[in-house]
Amino acid sequence: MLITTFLKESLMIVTIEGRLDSLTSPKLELWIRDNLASPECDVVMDFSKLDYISSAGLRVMLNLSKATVKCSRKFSVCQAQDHIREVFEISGFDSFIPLYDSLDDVPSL
Amino acid sequence: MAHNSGKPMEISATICTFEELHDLNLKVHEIVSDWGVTDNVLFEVALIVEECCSNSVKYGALPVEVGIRHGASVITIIITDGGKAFDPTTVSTPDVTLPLEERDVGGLGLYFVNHFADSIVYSRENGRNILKIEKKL
Repeated sequence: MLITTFLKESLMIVTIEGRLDSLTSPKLELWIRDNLASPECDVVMDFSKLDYISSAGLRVMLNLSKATVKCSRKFSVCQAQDHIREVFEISGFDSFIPLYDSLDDVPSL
Repeated sequence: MAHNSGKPMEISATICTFEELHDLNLKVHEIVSDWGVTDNVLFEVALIVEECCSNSVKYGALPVEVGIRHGASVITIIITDGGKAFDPTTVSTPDVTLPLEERDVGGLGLYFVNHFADSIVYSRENGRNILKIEKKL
């Protein structure tokens, strides 16, 4: 799993490449603890290069979602592949994590 | 059944760690995609295997034995572990309509398994939990 970040005005774009499973998700959780514990800007996860996510990855998304809400910031996901979008929908996570088709659709401040 | 001669029609693995589970997941991706299934089936089989095995690894119900077999119209997944008796088909389903502040991910993995599998049969034999899961093609 590879994590890269890019700051676009007041939006932090985090690209996750590879797989978010029970082995790699704790590593993302640690990275978030070090870098996004109290987000000072809105955060969008770019999933265009993410091939796989399990409930372990969703756990990390849930925690990040709660952390951003606590800081009055927004958290969203963009460019998720169909099967990844489906697990967000089945789990109801799409009711609090907006899923956008492209980065351009993410509302700016 | 033997249309894809030369390609493995069965995967067997013994899992004790999350590293091994991750490696198996990659192997499932590689081999099952050779079976000519849709991307969704491929993803769902990998997800079922991971969600079932990760609980066993987490709670030390080791070793976990995994078998995945390609039949004519079904993929059969058999997972056994050495933990105390646990029937995942009796676990209550999480409320997926709760708002963010009340959500936690407990039970979500098994919820996915129940959602994506076409049948799940649990049995207990010789001190091992046995799960037989079918995914129709």
